[in-house]
Amino acid sequence: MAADTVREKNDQGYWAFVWKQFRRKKTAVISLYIVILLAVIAVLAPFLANEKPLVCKYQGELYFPVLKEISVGFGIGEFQRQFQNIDWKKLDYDMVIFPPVPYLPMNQDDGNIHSKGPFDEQVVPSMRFHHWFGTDELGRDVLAGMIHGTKIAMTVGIFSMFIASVIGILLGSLAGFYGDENFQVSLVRLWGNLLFLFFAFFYAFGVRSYDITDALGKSLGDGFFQLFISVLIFAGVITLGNLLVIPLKKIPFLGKQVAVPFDLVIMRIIEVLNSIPTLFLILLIISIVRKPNLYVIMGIIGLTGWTGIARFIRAELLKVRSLEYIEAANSLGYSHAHILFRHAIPNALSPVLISIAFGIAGAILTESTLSFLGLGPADTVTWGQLLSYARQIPQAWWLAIFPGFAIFVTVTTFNLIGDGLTDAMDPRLKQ
Amino acid sequence: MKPVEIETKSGKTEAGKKVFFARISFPLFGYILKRILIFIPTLFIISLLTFILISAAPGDPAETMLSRSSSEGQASDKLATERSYRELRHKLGLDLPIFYFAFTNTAQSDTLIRIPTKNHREMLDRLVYEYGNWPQIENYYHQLKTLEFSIIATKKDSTNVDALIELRNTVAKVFIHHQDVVLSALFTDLKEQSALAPNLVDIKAKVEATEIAYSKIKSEASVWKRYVPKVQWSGTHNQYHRWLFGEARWVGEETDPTLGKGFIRGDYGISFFTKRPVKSVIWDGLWITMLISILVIVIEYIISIPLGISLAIRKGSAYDSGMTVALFITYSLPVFWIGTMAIFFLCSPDYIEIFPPFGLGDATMEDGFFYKFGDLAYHLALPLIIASYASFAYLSRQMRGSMLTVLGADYIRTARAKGLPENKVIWRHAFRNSLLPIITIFASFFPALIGGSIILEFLFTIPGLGQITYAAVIQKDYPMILTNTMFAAILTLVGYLVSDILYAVVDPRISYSKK
Amino acid sequence: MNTQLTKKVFVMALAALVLYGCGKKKEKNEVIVHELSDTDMLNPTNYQSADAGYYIAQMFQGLWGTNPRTLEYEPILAKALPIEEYDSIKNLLTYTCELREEAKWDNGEPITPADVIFSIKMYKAPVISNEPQRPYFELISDVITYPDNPRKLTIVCNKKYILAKSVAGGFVVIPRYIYDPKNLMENFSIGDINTKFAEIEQDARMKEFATEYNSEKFQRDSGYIVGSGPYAFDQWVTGQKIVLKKKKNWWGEKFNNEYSYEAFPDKLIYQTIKDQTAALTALKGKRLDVMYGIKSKDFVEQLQTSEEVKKNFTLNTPLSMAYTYFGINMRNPKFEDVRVREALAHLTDVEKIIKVIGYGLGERVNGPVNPYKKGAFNDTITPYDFNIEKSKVLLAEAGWKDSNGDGTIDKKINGQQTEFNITFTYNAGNDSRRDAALIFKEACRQVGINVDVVPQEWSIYLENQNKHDFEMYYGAWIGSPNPDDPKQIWHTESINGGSNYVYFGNAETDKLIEDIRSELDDEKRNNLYRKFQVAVHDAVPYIFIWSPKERIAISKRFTNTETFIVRPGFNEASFKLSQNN
Repeated sequence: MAADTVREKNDQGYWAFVWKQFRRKKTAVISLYIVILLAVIAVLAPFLANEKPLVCKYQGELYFPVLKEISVGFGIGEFQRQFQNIDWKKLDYDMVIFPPVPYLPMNQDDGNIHSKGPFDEQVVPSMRFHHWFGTDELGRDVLAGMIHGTKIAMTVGIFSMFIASVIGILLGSLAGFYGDENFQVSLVRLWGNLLFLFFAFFYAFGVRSYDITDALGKSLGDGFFQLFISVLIFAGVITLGNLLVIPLKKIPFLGKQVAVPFDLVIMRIIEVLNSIPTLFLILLIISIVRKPNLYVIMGIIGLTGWTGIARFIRAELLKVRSLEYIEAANSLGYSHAHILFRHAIPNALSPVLISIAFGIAGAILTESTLSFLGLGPADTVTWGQLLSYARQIPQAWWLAIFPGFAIFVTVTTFNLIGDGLTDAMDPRLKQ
Repeated sequence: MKPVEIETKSGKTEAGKKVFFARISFPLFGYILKRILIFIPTLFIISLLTFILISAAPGDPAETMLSRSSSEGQASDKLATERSYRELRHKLGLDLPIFYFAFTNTAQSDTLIRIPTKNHREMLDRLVYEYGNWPQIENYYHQLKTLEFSIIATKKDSTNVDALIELRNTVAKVFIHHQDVVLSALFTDLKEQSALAPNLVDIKAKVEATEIAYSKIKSEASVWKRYVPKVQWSGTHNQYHRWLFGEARWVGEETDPTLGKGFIRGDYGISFFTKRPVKSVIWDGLWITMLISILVIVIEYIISIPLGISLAIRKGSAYDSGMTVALFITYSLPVFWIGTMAIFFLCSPDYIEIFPPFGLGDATMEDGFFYKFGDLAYHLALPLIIASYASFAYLSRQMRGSMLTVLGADYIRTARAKGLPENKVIWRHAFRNSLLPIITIFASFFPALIGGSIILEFLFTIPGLGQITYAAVIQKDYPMILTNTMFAAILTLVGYLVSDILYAVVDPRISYSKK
Repeated sequence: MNTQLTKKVFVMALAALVLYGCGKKKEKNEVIVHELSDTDMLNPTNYQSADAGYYIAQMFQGLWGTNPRTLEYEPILAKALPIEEYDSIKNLLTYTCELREEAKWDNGEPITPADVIFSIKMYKAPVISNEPQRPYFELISDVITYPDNPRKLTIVCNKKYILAKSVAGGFVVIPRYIYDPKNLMENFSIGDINTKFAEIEQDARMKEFATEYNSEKFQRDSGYIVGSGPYAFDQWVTGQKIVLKKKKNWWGEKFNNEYSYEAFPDKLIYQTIKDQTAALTALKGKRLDVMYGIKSKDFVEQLQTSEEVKKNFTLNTPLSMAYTYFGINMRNPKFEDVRVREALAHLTDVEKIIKVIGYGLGERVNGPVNPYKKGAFNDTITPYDFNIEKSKVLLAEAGWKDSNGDGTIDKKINGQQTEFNITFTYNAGNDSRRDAALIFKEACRQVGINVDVVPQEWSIYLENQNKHDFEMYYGAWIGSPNPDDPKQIWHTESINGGSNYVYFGNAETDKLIEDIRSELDDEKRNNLYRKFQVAVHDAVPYIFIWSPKERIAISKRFTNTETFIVRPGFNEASFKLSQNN
């Protein structure tokens, strides 16, 4: 009892200590601010780049069209009759304030088609409407695309790497920590679970295959709802199975303890996953969901990108497992989780954080490679898409430099944050 | 905390060598043998998974093959095209079940896969899913087919031509719909349309028969069947068996030359698209991809490892931060863009023409070795640079990180305290231990290179495996996809095995023998 | 310490590379043609890719064919154009001709009607991988030979059909002695193949022959790809290039004043370069003599503006026979009303599309018949103009209004409130189609229609069209110099199984199409074509966009490099090395 409270206090102190250490490192803190800034840009994108005015006075009345747009988007507002489907730039205002960039990413400026550069002569009413980052083939403003693309880049990068990290750390830890012999269950539970896995799969996904695909085809929300139901069924069947097993364990033969070869199985999963060309998987999944949207791409990157992280954790655990301090920790009666999170993971942190940081940029680049192959979403502008446009027009440097710089900032800041965290969590620092 | 062990083992070179050989001996050998045995089930699972993925993928190779040239001519001759299609599917083995057995539900039928048209198969599958009584559904499909043919066969005249067109369109819709609401509406339409002209009595009767068949599906529905799992046995006459073992005789002379020998007898099948044996297509591409991959890995490691170490040593200096920024910049620009820029600026007479923009050169068999070598080197120089630069950042970053971790360890401090020169500390003591993450990456490099070479090979028109795989996926060239996946899988497995062995060699603490 | 040395080595290596790269350019009588991708095979009946067809045309010859310069039929292996006869009682159409007496195979043996019969069997027989071509040859039911004249033959077609002449003479004649040395195909006649198809399919002799014929050596080995044409297959470096070599003492040499017998270069080299930028760079570096299908942007901004390029290359922009269109699913409740389809046509800014994606290199089309088909083309039809106001009016008339103020117009369809969303599909990877779709999307946004532009992988894109599972899509058709047969695309029988994806047609248009198909008189048929175009225009099944011009650069090393409307737009065999070289 006493030992527990001590441990808890220790834990609290530990994270406060990590944070303190992290704050000491200037580059890491600056990077953190830049990431926060990017997040702010992502959230405020409609106010930063929009075809509608922020504020305008029209025929004697004051309007806030961008706010209105957002409320309509949430389904709590309605466009005023006179503003339905009009060209906002051609209205005769009494007073008007446009956002800093007076374009939406999809607005096609007919005067500036065929990729006009920032320094090229542009056909614009005034410098206020100048395309500061140039335009693309259709005359769309690159800066507006960059601003609205920030949100996409951030979500794609972070979300996909989040999925990858969770799976990678979990499976990597299981494999490295328990190896092939250290996790023992009764024979009946092992075989029972394998059997019930089959039944769970059958009832959760096999029986409901069309329900799920139909819902996915209809909308993402419906699809997730159906998937959620399937996951519930899956969990239900497995739990039921495990409850059924309990009385059977009493039979001596069935109750025999056997080792679950976690390492063997997980490593095989990694091998299998890495052997099937990712591109093939992506093509396949994109064609099943019919509309290649960004969430799908995030999901694919996340579900296929965890193997590296898992292998790092496993490799580090293989090394750490036999170290004396783990043995010492064991003998002190610390729980497995404690050993894992306080000793093993901090040790493996450096390679894992680097690969997560690179993975975030890598996800953004993967999205761009998909655009290069023509498989990305067609009607949203993303950083990656701008880059793939740039390839077709080597002269248009502005299509490459700006998104390239944005990706550079992302990869650098995440790396530096990773560096800071590695240093801050270094177990040796504590002495 | 005193991993002294390490120091003593790697401290003296002689002792180190001995230990190395000692480790390579029995336990490791046994481990390798065990791993190679595990390859077999792994490869089996990979091939099976690929099979399942392929068959789940949309698109029908037979349809793709036929539709390529159907923009002119008499292709609308329905019966002829349908016959071509059916025959092609049979030839490709697409009308066979996928595996020896299938876990399905009792509603499913094994005859469904023989229905030639993909749209129809899908519609029927839906009906089975919804109502679960295959005999009735099969009967309904049969009725519907009869109806369709009688409409096509009915002689047109001025009184019935409009009705016939409408009937045909409606029937076409019936073939692809499964929702009850839609179908009921369509049947109402059909009945009205068949009543439009007096000489369509026969068709009207058939419409009614079809509708009765449909209502029978609904009235005799057995939805419960969907919830009862069933193992369906298909025997050896299935696509997987055909691919793996082939249909040709094992003993004695095979008389029918159209039968294949199967994957394990070294017959990888015939490519759907080029109609060449898959084996020769793959050999054409394999050597060049392997050559490029190995060279790229060597270049990457030779540059990144010293770079990472030098960055770690001078951590926090201007050199470190400057180099870091430079490396991140290279990482941020995707290969396809840098490649294009390189071609645009380094291969063009408008700017600097140093490198050739495409291909592998045109040295022929007769040319001397040096000419061949020079020609190939000249053509590969730029692709190799482009392919390797992108990994410098990642690899050197990993190397730097792990070096720093090792340099912070106690035994290094001890070594320094003992007064060993820094150079010695790093190369003798820290280097080997900092290689772990780099080795981890090595394992996944082979498959990544094969995948990543798609873009490189596209940019420089190098006919390697990447191009072949991409084309195969796009063209639904099943035998090519399967063989490529198997090759990639074998390479991956070997890569993992090598990296695991390297672990043991590099870090003596890791042991694969039982304790 | 070692860096100095490393630097030196590096510089030397680089210098060696540069030296190596220069200094190997000679004027050779060889034409190097750029190709975007490697072809599949050179088997004359089994190939699928269009490129293979062009190469095969340099090595093999047909009985007669269209001269792309005049768009008229010309005899090739036949002495003169065939005599066309129609037997209305048996409903048989026959073409009778005589083979040229000079025509010989490489072994010196004359080309005989037996070779022609053998060739037709190659297109019709089972087990052979000729499935894509086979349906066209259902038309040919028999070949009649004449014992009194060993060079005379009659090709019999089983019905009156406008394309019969092109099918009956368009196939290539294949030497029996190379492809069937064991004479296995003697066992089956054309009549047998027509009637006993399934039986022959199981025949061991057929299987033996077909396995050999389908095998790799007849696809890509020199010595096994042999025709009567001027060029012989020389070399195929997979993924890189295909080389054809001029035959020495070719029998047709003396006819080289006829178009079909022009063959001047010693070698034809088809060089694959997958990436457009790399190909363009290679062109500028004079590593290529011909590049076609150049992207409009590159053509206008990089080639036409460069003096250096213009000094070395002629830049040609012949018209093409292709046209592109937006297909509309006419049975989708949203588009059932013709006014809605008209409104969408008014929302398509074709001029802008041509300007943005084509740099003006193309012409607007108003219907399915290409303007170059002078008699058949109906020039009285004016295409729908870009007019947002008009489309607003039409949509309002059809009942589409923004009743809930969310910015998208809506209507009650079958009692359900439906927002006007359109899913617009195109084949993934085709960026100009995507851009055209985005221009359309932006115009639709201005009237409150929300367009989702969705790329689909090629096979799925086709599959969805076949299933009519689409709302709008971007498509294209390529015509041929032969008369158009509208049945495949426009007849209601083609809705299930053909290419009438949009549900076009009624009894009247079906009748028109059937009349067109069997009308052999040009004048009468042209009248029908003109009527048909009006019917299509009024129903708006497609929004017709444009017919792009080809963009072809040809080296000035050669003369006689005339370009024309038939794909690929040039004939490399006609090129003559220029005198001043």
